[in-house]
Amino acid sequence: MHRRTFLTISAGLATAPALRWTGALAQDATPTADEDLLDLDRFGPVAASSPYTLAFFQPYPNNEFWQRLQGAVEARAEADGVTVEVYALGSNEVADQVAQMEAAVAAAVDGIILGTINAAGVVPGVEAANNAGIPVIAVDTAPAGGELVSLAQTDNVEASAAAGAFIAEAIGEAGKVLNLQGEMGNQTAQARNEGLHRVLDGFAEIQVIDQSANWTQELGLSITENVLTSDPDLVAIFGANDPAALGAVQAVKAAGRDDIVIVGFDGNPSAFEAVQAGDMAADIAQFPERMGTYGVDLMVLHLNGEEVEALVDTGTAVVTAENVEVFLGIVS
Amino acid sequence: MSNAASQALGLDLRRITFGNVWQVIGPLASLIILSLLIWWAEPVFMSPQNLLNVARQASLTAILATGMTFVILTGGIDLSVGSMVALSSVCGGLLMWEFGWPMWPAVLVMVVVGGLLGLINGAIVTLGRIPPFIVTLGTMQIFRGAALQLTDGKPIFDLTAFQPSFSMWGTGDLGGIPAPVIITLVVFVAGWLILRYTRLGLYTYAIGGNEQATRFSGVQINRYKLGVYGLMGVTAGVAAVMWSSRLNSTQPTVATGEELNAIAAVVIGGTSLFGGEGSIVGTLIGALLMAVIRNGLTLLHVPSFYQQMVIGAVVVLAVLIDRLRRRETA
Amino acid sequence: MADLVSPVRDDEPLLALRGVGKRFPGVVALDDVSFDLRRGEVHVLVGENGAGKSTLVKLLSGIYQPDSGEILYDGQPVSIPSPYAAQRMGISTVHQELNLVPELDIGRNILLGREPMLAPGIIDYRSLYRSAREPLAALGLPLDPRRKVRTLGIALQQTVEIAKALIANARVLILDEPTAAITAEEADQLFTIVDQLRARGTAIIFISHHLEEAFRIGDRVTVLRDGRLVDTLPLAATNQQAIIRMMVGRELIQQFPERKSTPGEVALGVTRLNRTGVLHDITFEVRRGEIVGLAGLIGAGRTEVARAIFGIDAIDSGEITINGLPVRVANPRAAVRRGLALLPEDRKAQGLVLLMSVADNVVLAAPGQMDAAGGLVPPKNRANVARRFVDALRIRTPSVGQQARLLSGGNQQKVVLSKWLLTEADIFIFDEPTRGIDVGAKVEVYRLMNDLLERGAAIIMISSELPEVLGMSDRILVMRGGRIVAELAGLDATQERIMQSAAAGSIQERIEDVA
Repeated sequence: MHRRTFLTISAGLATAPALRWTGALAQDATPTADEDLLDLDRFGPVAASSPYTLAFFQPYPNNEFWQRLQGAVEARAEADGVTVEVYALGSNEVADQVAQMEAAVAAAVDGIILGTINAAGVVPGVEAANNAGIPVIAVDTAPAGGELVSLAQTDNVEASAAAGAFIAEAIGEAGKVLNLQGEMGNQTAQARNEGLHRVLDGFAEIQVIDQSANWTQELGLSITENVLTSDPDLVAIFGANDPAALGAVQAVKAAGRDDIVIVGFDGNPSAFEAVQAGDMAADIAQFPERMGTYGVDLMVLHLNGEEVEALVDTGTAVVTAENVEVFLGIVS
Repeated sequence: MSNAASQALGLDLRRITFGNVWQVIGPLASLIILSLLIWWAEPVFMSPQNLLNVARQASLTAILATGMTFVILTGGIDLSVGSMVALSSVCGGLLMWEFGWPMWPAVLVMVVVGGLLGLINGAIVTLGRIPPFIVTLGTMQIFRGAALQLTDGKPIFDLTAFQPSFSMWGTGDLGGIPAPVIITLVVFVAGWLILRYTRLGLYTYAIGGNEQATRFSGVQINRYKLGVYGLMGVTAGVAAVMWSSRLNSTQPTVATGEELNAIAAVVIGGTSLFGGEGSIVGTLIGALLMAVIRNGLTLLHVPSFYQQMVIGAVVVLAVLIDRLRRRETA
Repeated sequence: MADLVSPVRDDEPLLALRGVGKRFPGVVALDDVSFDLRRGEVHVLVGENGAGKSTLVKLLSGIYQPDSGEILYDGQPVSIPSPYAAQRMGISTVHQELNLVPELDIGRNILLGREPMLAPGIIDYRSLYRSAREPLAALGLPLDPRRKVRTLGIALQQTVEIAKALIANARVLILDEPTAAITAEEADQLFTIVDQLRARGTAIIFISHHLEEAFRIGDRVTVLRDGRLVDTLPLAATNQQAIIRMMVGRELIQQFPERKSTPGEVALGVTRLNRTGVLHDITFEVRRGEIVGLAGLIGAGRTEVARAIFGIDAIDSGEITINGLPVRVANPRAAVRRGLALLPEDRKAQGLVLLMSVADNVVLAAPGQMDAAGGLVPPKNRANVARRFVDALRIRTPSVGQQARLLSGGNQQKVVLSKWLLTEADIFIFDEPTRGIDVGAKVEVYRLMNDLLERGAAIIMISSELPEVLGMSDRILVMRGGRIVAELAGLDATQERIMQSAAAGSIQERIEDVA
């Protein structure tokens, strides 16, 4: 079942108390202010005992999620009184990221906050930091090896399981569901696929159709067009990321269907707008702000000589028409 | 085909450079056989609705592959088409979204930007005397980077909220035929006419067939190569209009890897990567073949990995059939 | 290399052809040719261009298969299906285009494909370089086998190829025009090596255009003409004049059609044309209605003159006038616009787009010459235009849609000519106009040239076939080393005079070398 190292870590995470929080937010999420919802001050701000220099590894500088995460890192670094150098990855090559990490080690930074592009491939970089005695905290995704001080991430399996539960309820636990998977060589795509199946496979009346949209809107659109033709009795669509879900929205609209439950995953503003407009039933939102903020706070705490939690779940929320206003407030 | 056989068929079947049925027999047969197989396995495949889906989904590749046919016929290649689509799309999208431009000028800008980007490729290839593979490998990155830079990496969703009429290019229809299909047909017919009736078309074959002999015949090679790359850019611009309307968004990462689909369509269609030989009809068949595979396998709920493998196999098979056909006529 | 050492001299043929024939579309390259090669002899193969020498070599090195006849090796009928098979049988060929990997060193080139192994897949370099030294030493060349082949001159590269043949235990060594690209001194070294190999019993086929070389190195000579065997005889029993007669052979009068035109005004004038290191002070003129022949050995600069006039290669100084007016011809396009036409030596590489139809080739240079609106070039109009020429020039093709590559050499030449007739060119440069063309078709090409003259055209004809130069030219310019060294006309123009002028320098240089 758990073929990848990452998933093994996730399984270990299931015992963590913070995890139950995911579901909790989905059910009673009616916070009054964005501040409360984001819960950014769980570990800080922390006053740094000396002006540390941190390195932040930005794997997808063009991705909205990661831009928000980077923004949070920079904001909290300022609040904590530390400097942060951003190592943005220009290519999609993990080898380049390892080279960047080696450069950061050579520059003798005090701590590394790592957003990795490839969990397995980045290990040599983590080990280089370990050997130089530079602490590493990973955000969003855990490297497959090497020593981490802490890991702040969304549990993708649990989050897409929540999406599965939402879909099952919305369709009366019966019917065909199209699963627009991500790029299946990627561990996040695997986790989201696994979580959805864990829930939906439990219902005898639900049939899941798996097709990879490769994280793209183009394929989300054309695959949905095709499946609407082959399976007109389709009742729901899960997009493993927001562009795929938005592609599905286009196809469903063009086909003149308004009875299909569409759920996305990411928490992009455009997805929230689609939820608001009623085109999407729900979107699974992550909290990149938390990942960035917690990452910096945990690193400063560690550098200050304090014990920090080895695993921090940054939680997810199921955003529906009921609470979408609040989330639009956060991202805008 | 032997001389005797061609004489028996008469002139009409062996028209000049074009219209050689044998040239596209491989891809055409594959398309028909594959369609019949899918139809047999999943009857809904032949429904008018689904056939329109196939045509719609073939449109992006087909439009780009039309331009790519010219480039490859000259013995060149253009790896930057995906990035050109993205940059053109982003330019037009930003004008509508950020500056409130009306639809028509923004659409025109997309096409013009595409053409200009193509001319940049052509200028570097001809004046710099750098192999097109290297030039466009570079501009692929440059154009993509520029698209990301202009939008700060963020997609612009819901363009029709700014310019409702923009939706006509991607989701509109004319008598039930979707706009992308009509646009593709227009581009295809234009490409076919250019290749068949103009000097640019004649020289496209000549340059790819034997650049030296063509130069020694007094043809200004650079001028026509520039034209070919410009034409490629224009098709990328047209594709950008159609595709951003269809997706109702403009994304700097759109059409990533689409250059390979376009090249694959051209190759499946029987055009030689060495240039000088091939047809635009074959290219259209190639693009349709790829869309049929994707569509059919999705209808049959075949996992995505297999779709990649099948398309890859078809590319190799198409070239193999072509090689065998050539050996027979040689 | 045991068998290399055995100094066997044997009159039994090691390798023999019996009545071998080879045809290509439209051309009979070899017709009923018999040939034999003995151990320890140097057998020189001579003939004009297109006589069938290279076809014969390609049959022996496994590149072509004979259509008829048989090949005997050690008295047994054999087939040589591939170059690899030829090598395995002990037949090594050193082609004019050398088959070396320039970026690899000498040792690796010599043992390419037969590297000694320490273990499967692991090359024993120590023993590789040791093995490589043996043939180099045997050839009297103390070269460092770790040196890159790229850094060697042509002559040494040739020697590396020969060393490669030694390693392959070659019993037959074919040298295809080995002296074409090397200096006289280097040629002498080569001859020394050839002498050594002969002494070891290797059978050598030596192809050369230079007859004096044949007498210097050869034991026997075989003369080919138009794909047929003329004779094989010991060199001791003949002389250069006799061989030239055998090579040229045919009666000139029959071949060259009567001409009615007389030279008129000057169409093209070339004054002190220079291209550093290539052309020196080229000055001549061509009148309407006359053919000026350019004769000389390969590499004498004849094609370079054509390229300079046609704007392909830039010139450093000099003046070109057309109809008395000075013109600048910066590129082929400018040349075409001024009414020049080039029918290049290598038709397939420079004259035609082989993949295109006859019709498209005909209209390539002048798509404007079509009655179509808006500068369009509709296929139907192309076909109509081309059909006119196919009829007028009697181009044999099933249709104007036929790909040019499927035509015979003579018909291909007519297609190239049609292209220039369509541009209404009036100054024609024919570079080797009948190379690779059948005897019958040659006459047709000559007739077409005469037709051009009668219509007021001027023609420059470059040719290596002396009878052609003599039979067709009004005046003959002989070139050597990038210079025009003689102008011959009328009774002065004989094969002997031309050969003397063309080759005199090289003999002179050799005398100076010895001195």
